[in-house]
Amino acid sequence: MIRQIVRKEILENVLSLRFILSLLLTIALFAASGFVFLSRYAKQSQDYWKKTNDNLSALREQSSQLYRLAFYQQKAFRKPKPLTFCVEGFEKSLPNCFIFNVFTTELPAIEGRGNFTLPHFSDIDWVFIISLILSFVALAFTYDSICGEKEQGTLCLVLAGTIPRYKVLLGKYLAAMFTLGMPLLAGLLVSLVIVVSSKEIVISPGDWLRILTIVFWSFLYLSVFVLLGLFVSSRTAHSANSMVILLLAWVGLVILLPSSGKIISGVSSKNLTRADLERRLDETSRRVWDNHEKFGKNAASMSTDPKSPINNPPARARLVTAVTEATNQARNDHHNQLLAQTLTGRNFTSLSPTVIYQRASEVIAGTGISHCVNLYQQIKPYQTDLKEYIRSNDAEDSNSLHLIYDEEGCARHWTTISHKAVDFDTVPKFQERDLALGQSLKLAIWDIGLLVLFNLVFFTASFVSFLRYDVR
Amino acid sequence: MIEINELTKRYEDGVLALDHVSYKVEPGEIFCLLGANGAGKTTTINILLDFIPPTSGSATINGHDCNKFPLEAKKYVSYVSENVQLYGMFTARQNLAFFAELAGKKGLKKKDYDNVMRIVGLPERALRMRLKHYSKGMRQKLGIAIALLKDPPAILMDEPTSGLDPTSAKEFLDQLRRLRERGKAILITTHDIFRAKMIADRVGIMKQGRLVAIRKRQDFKHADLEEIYMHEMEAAETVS
Repeated sequence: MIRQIVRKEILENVLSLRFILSLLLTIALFAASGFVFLSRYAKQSQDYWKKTNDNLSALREQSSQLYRLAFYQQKAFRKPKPLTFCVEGFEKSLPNCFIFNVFTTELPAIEGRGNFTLPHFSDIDWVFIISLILSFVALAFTYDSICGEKEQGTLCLVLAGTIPRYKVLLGKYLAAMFTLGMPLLAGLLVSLVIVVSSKEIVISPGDWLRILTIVFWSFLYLSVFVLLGLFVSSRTAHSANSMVILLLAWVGLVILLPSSGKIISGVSSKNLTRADLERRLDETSRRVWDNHEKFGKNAASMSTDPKSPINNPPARARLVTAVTEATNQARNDHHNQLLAQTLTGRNFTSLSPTVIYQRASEVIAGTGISHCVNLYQQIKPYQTDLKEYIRSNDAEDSNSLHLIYDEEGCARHWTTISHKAVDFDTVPKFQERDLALGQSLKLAIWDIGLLVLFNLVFFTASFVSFLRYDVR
Repeated sequence: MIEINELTKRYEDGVLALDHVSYKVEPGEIFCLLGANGAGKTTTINILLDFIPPTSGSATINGHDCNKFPLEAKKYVSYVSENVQLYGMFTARQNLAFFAELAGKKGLKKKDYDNVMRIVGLPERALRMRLKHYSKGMRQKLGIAIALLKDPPAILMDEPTSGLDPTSAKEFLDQLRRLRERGKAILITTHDIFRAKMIADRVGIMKQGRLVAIRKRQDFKHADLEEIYMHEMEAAETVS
């Protein structure tokens, strides 16, 4: 019996003007997203490789003297991800440059952005189209699914038969999902054909798996809106009322709640600025410097003459290392506070399935804020590797004091670190690594759980509501 | 076939729509429920179709309680509403196929559809017409065609002649007679005393939720049913 309901509903939907319009609109948007992505990705890749190669060239120059490797401010750039056509994740407004040496990492920065006003435009990616346009289409297919049939007078006739109500509801749900799947899959196909046929981009088997995961979650996301539509339709007697309620719910869930994240973040804690960080770093380093006596005699003094009696390199190394550790800690705390502030807003907006879907898709595609955090976290192990490399090469130089700490002047004048050249090919190079799909899934598991929960809640609500629905 | 036993329905707002109503409709019988608006006629049908639960009493179709085992009871009944509304974007054939399949009638062939269309007096070409181009009379006939395809032993009709032109109404009554000859138990609610007299084997007169009288055909065959109706209504008024 469900089959009959599904077939009838699909036929009814497909014959409607709203289906034709949504199909055309969706295909046009997905095609546009494909073309926009290609033009952007080519430029981004070019920029990325140019900057990365410049950084490597500079690093090669530093390898002429070991100590310079330690103090060279390397730049790591966010690699443009091929899956940004699925979800861009506001990347153009996020930092793209991470500056660090062996001892410290600066806070992420934005570099080389041509037109700084451009990030104000939203990107048309899959997630944008699905979360904004297709969620609305889902409601357009379901707002009159039950109350419309009541108004029309056909619901009585259907329920006068031997079909149980839950089967009618299930049939309507499956049909709406199937109908919605048609423009969605057609659009996705068009977008993929455009992207794949351009040859600018190579989609690896792993990326295909990620794309499939995002498609699956897109269905899970749209299912929330289909069930919401069925729920409201089974709570109202007139389709006009249902439409108004759903429109309000859509604005709340898709527009207002996601936008409220920034407000909540701002209200929950003070907006930290770069000046705050500078102040914090000054205070921290001053506190350590003020206690310089405990690091040894003349720890706070330094002469460029290596033979000067006031020099005490081991004491100096202990003092500066303590300062570096304290300021690194302060920098980390500042970074964590910034993240926590963002997370507060993000957690609040988890009431919106749109935010959940967007966040989960970003994690799987490896874009967005998780991309930034992932890259930032990869710098520390690289610093350790490079430091170890410097230490092992430095150990072979009998002229070096073998004191590896963050003071370039001492390294230059006192030879605290070796000045010998090293083979550049043996120098560790920073390379961004993508998270494995398994790791990404692990990160997105809560969001997916929430989407499933949304589905369950709305399914139960619409089921209970339809069982009690007055069909007269 | 259709049995109403001490059926009572009080709505949440306190309105007593049915007050201990009892009657039976036997196979091969047309039972017309007469009454003013709000007398409880449609409420009875709504309970029989499990659209609303009774407050007390029972309604059964072929021995199955409509409230406790609604799906079982509805296997034996078809419903023709006051204003048959079907899917306007679909053709008559698509509508027939949909409702027939819902009733478990699968594998119907063109001749089966042609047959019911002929029985209800719709031209063959009407099968291919979209329902939005159907007149009310044609839709009403198609409603009966749906009931015929299911071929149940009982049929419920809620104001079936309302809004029909005289010719369509006459054809409709002819159709009812044929259904009666085929042994169907037919319960009709109507305001239309004139047509009730023409078709009913028995009439039940309802007033404010009570069944105030049941008259057999021989009681009104040669009498003025309207007069009987008015008389019973006045008598009920006096009693209450």
